[in-house]
Amino acid sequence: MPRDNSTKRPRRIVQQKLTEILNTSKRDDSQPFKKKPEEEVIESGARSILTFHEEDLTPIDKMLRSFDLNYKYGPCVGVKRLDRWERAYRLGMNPPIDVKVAIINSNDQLINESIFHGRL
Amino acid sequence: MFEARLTQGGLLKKLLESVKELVTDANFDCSETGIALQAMDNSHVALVSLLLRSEGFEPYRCDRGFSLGVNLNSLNKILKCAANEDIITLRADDNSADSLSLSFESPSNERVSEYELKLMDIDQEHLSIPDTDYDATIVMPSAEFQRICRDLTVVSESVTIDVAKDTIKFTAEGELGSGNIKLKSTSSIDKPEEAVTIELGQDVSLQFSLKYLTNFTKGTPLSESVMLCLSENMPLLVEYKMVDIGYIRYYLAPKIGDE
Repeated sequence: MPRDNSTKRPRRIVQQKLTEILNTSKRDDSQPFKKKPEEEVIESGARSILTFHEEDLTPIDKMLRSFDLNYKYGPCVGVKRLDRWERAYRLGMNPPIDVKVAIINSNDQLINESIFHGRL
Repeated sequence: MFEARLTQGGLLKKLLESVKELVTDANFDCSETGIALQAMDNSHVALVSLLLRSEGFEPYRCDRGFSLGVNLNSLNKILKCAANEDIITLRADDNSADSLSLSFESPSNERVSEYELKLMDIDQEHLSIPDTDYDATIVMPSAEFQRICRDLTVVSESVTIDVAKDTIKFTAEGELGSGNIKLKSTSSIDKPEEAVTIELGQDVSLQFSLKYLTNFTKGTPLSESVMLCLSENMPLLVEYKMVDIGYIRYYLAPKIGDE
């Protein structure tokens, strides 16, 4: 027999959550004991490995290029960027979500093509 | 390098007993000033926060701040292997980072046991608890509070705590009936640990889950007295102070009318 008498009262009493009253913050005050693997640097989409001849590129272009050139997600030639992203995602590799957002939100047809499109 | 030697090993045993029901995994944040832990229970209703200051250890050494992710149940099991009088030493090497070593020395030094506990990566949310001037602050014998929670659980799942000028009233209403316990503030000068004191800014009336409160009273062996702090729109604070070394604090979100 449920002993939850509170629901039978005319006014319902609910248990509040601490997170509704207080602010949460991701803990960053102390380092984790185990350091995270170094691949994190490549993961954070906006940071590019290439730094030459990129003066005229937007941050989004740079991010997409670095995504294309990240061998972790497999070859990029002949595959649409979105397909490559989805494949990486299905394989549980956590591709940067910013890449998908950028492709979906752009009106430019060519944004879904990899960096080598039309150049090979 | 992290090393902390605690002469009153029984304290650590009691401490673990008082936390493990509420949270299963937690990070011990070690720094130069001491060891701290903050963790919410799974339902995000209650939070436990404990502090062991470096002065309570002899010696205490921590070269840099880091976290030890621990399964509290496992740690508790290992600590059960220590006797209450044992001296407990915690050790971790920040370079070879995957275990915490514990050693228990019997006071006469005849027996030394060593255990290694595997550590884990725990990603936890951190709640920032603002410093609050609470509307009501109550200090009472911890055994008394434990008894009130236990008794009222018979009647209901939740308790309403009303604090007025010099009385505290705990009320529970359930299907079988209702019950209430009133406490008057007392000042027994010869036995301060038996006193009930109330500091009141304004009257407060708040409702809480007894299940959680009963869980909090697992901290009773740590201290003779308990402090309850209440304010509207704030979590209840239940604090057990450990002499010379630190405290354990429990926070509990109130139950509110849903209109």
